[in-house]
Amino acid sequence: MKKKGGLLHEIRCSVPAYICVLPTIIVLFVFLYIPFFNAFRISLYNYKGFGEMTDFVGLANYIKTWNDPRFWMAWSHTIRLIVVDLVVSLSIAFFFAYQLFKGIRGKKFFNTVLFIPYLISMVVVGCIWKTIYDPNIGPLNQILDMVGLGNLATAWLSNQGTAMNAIIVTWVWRIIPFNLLIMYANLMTLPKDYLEAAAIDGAGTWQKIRYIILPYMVPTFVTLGVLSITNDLRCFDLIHVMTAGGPGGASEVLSTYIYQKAFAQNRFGQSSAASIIMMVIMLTLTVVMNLIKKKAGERNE
Amino acid sequence: MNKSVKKKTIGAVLFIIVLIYALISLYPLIWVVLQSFKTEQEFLKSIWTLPSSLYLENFATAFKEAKISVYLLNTLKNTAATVVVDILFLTLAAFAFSKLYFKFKKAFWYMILINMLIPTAIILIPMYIQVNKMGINNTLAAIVFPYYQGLAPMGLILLKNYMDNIPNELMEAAKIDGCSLPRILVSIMVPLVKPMMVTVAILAGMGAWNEYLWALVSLTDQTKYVLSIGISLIQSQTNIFGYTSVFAALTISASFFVILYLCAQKTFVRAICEGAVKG
Repeated sequence: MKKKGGLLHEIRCSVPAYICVLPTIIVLFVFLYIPFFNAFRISLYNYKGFGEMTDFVGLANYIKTWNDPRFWMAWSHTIRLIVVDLVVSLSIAFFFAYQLFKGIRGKKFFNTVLFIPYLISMVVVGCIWKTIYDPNIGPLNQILDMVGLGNLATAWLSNQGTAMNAIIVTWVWRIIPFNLLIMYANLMTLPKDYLEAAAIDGAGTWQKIRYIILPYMVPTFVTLGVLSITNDLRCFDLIHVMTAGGPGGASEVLSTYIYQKAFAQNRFGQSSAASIIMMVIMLTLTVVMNLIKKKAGERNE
Repeated sequence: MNKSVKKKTIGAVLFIIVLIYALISLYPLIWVVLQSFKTEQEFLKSIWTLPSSLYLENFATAFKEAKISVYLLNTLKNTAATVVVDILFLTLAAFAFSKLYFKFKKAFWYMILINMLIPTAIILIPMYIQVNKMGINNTLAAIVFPYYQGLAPMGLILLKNYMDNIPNELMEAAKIDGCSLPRILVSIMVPLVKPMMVTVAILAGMGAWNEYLWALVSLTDQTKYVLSIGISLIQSQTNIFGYTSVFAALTISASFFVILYLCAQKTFVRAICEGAVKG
């Protein structure tokens, strides 16, 4: 059947499958491929978002973005978010995942409730934490007052020095439960006899973690690391709700920068150019990360 | 003897640390829920007291004046439509990729998966312009299909991998018995793939329910607003509705998935793990 009828025959045999794939392909055409190619076109024009595109400016939007200190500020904030996320949230999550795995009083209860923050959307989390940081009615300043640290109290989100860090704290608070859950699920698949054998050999807690648990979990750490980076790069909701990138760009990240350029300043061309530069850098990162992932996978097999 | 005392102390200390972490995790949420049952005066007097009575007026304000009921309904509609489209289209596509022969299979596969490499930010502006040009802004289609586009790759991978594990012989046997392809899909495949369909539906549902950026950009008609935009709008209007009503609105929007999770914890946890590890 394969070679007899040639291409036409093969395509005729494929019709049922094509019908199955067609709805998805049509949606992707209209809502992905066409917009994607238009993004490149828009980035070459000075475009305000309505009417025909006539003001062709070539690469001027790219040059403007490249020379905009705010764009690089947004990058530095995004990178800070990624670094804190990878170091702090993964290690805290591992600590608690290990405690739950080892067994603790009320384990079932903790297992259930510790995951709850992750079920609340970023927008609602942002609204809640905006209230917590509020200088007038917010609990945080009042707690600081109560424990005698009242001089630290500040308008956390409208102070240039604290805005980004306050957001990062909220972000980590919401993402730890997810990392914890995945790590815990992974720990539960660890064959029990590994640890028993180690215990017989007289290994202490540290040695067990260092030589058995951590090596076993490398693939999970890599997966979570890649997921964290992808999510951090897309971070928008939380920041838009809490500070909208302010004050004065102090908490601007890539996606809020792109959003502001287009929908607050009506510079659609420049915004598209920024998003394309961002994509190129992200693609490079993705390739690198996948290479690391492959390496880690090979080493583990 | 000494060793066991030391061990017990360490155990107690660790337990307290976990307890403190649980408190930090949950107290902000509990605090919001508690405030939503207070009167405005009670709240302004002290933010630490428990509500003196179960004051439900805030919820009424949130539902009626702050229009949470409208946003909730819109969100439910969008989410339900997205989940239906997602499951329908993806089951069809996954069936084709897993069990059917077709020319240019690889090319089609990568055509769909390439999506994962394109950040949402890049298609946001052209999609916004295009939706306006097509005249479908503020319609269900302008929400559901962009959402589906974003959700498709992960769901497709999950469903296809799951179907790959179903032996081909099952399908061959049915074919010999004269079963047509649509019937094979509906009465053999779907029942077997159901667990994974639930997973994909949960992931799509959470994605659609929480989505913010595209809704913010594309919805201009306030009667079509969804919870995510509605709640950030309400939050900025504490001067109109009062703090405690805003807390009631937050409580309502936060509780949906928490309640679902508490009802079906195992299903949820499985879905999220599968989404993270295999997707």
